[in-house]
Amino acid sequence: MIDNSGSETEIIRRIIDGDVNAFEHLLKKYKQYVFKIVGRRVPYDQTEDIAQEVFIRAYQSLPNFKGISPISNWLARIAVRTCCDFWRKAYKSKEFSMSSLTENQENLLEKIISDQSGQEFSERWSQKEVYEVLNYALNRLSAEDRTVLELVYLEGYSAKEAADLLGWSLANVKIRAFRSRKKLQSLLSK
Amino acid sequence: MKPLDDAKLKDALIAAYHGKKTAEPGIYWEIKVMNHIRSLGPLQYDMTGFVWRFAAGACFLVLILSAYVMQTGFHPEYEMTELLLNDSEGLAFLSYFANII
Repeated sequence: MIDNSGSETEIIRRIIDGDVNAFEHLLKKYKQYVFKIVGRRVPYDQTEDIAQEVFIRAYQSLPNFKGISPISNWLARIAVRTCCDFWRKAYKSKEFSMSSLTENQENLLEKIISDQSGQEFSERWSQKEVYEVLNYALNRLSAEDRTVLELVYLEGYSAKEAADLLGWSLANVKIRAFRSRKKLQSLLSK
Repeated sequence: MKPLDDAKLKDALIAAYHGKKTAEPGIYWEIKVMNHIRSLGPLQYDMTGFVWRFAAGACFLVLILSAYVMQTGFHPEYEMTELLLNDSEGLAFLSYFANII
């Protein structure tokens, strides 16, 4: 986590007062942090555009930044929600949801399903192969289910932390996390 | 298929997810973002949140007025006539403007 220092508060005040160029300090300091969050959630070729969208949203909502939590937490919230919006739009335009497994991926999935070797999963299949199958399953979940599953199951956030990041109720996150895990299970065992 | 709670499968999925190759921010990306931010101009205070603070009060007022109107009835033409008849000075004042027009 990146600390919110006193000078940062001063920079934020300057930006709110109209010094647009002062935003460059925040951009330089947090670009790696935002790329890390966004890069895991969206396709490689979309990372730059989504990260840009995150910083634009952050700039526009800077007057609403209360300073109660560190700016890194606030940026993480914007980044996660922007990624969720990206998937919502992508599914609406059927850009990703209709994509099907390639022949290789289908073969791989079949091999994984029929795997009786008892060997370590990671020993038998390469990380890239596993990611392809995971990506296939994630692309078949709704934007909300996908986001919750990534946060809670794959990244290890608690339901409370995920609720804070998404701005949802704790009950909603718990229900969605449970349902999305069931969906992932059925997708991987089809 | 192994159940999703299987620690081996879970570890493999998590490792694959975290091992995904991610893009790195370049200097041109930074310039592009700053150009976009500059094109947006200086920030202006967002009044939306301030205005929404009055929403609850406004709704409450509407309810009170609706209840009052339901009780007393709504006859604006009688109210206006009564006001003008009981206020002769006001009537003279208004008629002065009516003559000018």
